Amino acid sequence: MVNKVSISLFIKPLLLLLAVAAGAAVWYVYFNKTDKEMIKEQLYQFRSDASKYAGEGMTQSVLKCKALEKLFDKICQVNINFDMFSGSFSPDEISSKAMFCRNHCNSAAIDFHKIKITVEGDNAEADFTASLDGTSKDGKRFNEYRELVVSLKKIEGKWLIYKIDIHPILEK
Amino acid sequence: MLRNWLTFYLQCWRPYRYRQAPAGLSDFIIPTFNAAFFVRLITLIIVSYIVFGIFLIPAYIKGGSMEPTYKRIGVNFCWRMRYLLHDPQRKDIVIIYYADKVLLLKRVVAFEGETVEFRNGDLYINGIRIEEPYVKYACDWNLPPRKVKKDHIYVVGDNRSMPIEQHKFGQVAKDRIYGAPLW
Repeated sequence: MVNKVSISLFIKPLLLLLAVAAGAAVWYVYFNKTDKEMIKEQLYQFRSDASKYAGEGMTQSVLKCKALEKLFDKICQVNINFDMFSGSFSPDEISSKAMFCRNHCNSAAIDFHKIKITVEGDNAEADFTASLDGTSKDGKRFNEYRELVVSLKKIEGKWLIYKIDIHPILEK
Repeated sequence: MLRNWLTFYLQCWRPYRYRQAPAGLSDFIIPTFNAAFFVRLITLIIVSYIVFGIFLIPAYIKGGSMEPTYKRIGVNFCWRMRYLLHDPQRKDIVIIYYADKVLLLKRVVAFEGETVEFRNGDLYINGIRIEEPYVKYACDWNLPPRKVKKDHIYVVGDNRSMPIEQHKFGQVAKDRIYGAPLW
């Protein structure tokens, strides 16, 4: 009898403790993300919004290009050996350039490999290999690889891209 | 407990002739699906994964940029430990990580701070002509001098018979060295 009473006394606080621990674990996994995880998420979002998959309609294209704007700082410096895409651009301009590229191909799947992230205070740099695989409007297949260095800064808790350096993996 | 497990594990690897059951060719081709078989199978999978997933990466050669040293199509293994303790030497053949599932087979010709140049198909490092016995095909490349950046190496293929624009070569970050071909 004594045992039964003492067990029932402990069960409720124990269950409560377990519930709190589970809640803390959920909070830790979903909300308490490290800077590196947040940056990776931003990059994956960038990859997904910048890619054009076969069968994507105009509305989806517009929505994805608009979503791209949220990933960039007020001004983003893009350095690439191609005049049209090199320079300083606003998120709006980046979005319209993405739209321009989308209109010139049937599909363009972007992927990132071997992402290395270094964080220093409110600044971070992500170094990775990007692949671009797709087909142009005239049916030509392309498959390109580049080395990317993306610089980001933390503004109001969000990591925004302010510089992108794109260069070939093998530089003659 | 551990000793029992070890004894059982070692017994799983005993040759067929030492086992109680009579063994024949059919036993080898169609094995008995008992505990010993699964222990051997799991061991084989783990060892294969470690050997061929980490140390010796199987690679399919496609392309003639290293001809005639390596044929246009072939199979090789990338030995990942080759440059674990030291950097590659000049004229070493290295495997470069290019992208996901894409590796490049190239020869190291220059290191950081050195100047690379091609004059009428001949390679010049710091203005000195380099003997390249492995280059068998005629080459007429011309490339103005350029300095190899810090933490980079300069790699070129052995087959320079194609126009310079069509050949993938140049300076690449040292941390992209993936290993060396096994043979």
